[in-house]
Amino acid sequence: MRNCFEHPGEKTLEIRDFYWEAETRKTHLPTWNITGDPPGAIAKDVVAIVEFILDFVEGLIVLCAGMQTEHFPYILTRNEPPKTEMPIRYALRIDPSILSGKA
Amino acid sequence: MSDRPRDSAMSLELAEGTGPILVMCPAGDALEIYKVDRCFEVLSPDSVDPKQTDPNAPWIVRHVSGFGAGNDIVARTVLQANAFLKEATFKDTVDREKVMEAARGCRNSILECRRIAEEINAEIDRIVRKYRFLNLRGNVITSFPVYEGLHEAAGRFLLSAKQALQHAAGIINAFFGQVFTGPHYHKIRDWLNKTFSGTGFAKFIEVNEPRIK
Repeated sequence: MRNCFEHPGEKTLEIRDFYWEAETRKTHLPTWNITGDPPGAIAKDVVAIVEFILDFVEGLIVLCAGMQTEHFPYILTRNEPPKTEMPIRYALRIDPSILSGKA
Repeated sequence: MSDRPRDSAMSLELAEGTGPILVMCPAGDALEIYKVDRCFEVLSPDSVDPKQTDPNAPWIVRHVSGFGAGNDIVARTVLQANAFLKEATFKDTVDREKVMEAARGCRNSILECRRIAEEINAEIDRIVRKYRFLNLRGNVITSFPVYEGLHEAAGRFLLSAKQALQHAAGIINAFFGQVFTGPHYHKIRDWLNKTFSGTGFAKFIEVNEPRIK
């Protein structure tokens, strides 16, 4: 989507303001779509995109950190439920199995 | 031992915001201090006056954001990265400062995305309320709703989204000593499939890469 907006070519990002749909005789909220794709409501999409990017970035941090630890085997745990005052969702802990001599 | 005022110990009280200080994070030359609903930046005399020209150079505390540790975007980016860096030992190749720098960039860009998303939704709500009853005269609608600045708002949103993804690539660079520029995740996908084939990380990028073009 951002590629089509920044570098319009064969496919572009089509943005449509409020419009009248003759078949239903209804006013439609603003939509956008890449040429050839079905339109999506901008209002809903921007909220979903924010959530997606946040999930994506958090996932990157978790995966990168998980792969680059050393010295001890660490495990990833989920903070359930996250604290409302600081909703960090994951923690790295030294694998408890090595602490109890089971490893 | 120095007797310059700038070198003496300092204490500060943060009256703004709610509750106690929850966490402090390094932020380049500064320190970020978080309460649940506020973020403050503290600059030391050495940051304010790196050339050491002023023996009385002050500490500077500024309220940088109305978003604190309780904000999900702040917590799941900067504070998550900060927590990991404190919790575990990492390989020498991991550049901690750059991890935090990239995480802060992601935080700022996603906060901006959310702000614009809220702006777009508020404006659409406002217009819908204003034009709740279309003025139909005969078969003519005399005033049809218009979102002035829709393209511009959408463009700003997409730009901030792109910046967030660029900073996210910086997280990978900082953890793995790579130099991916821009949000070219197809290159990151190819590198992961070559270097870390079959890992959860490679699959994660493989799955998400088409969605972030």
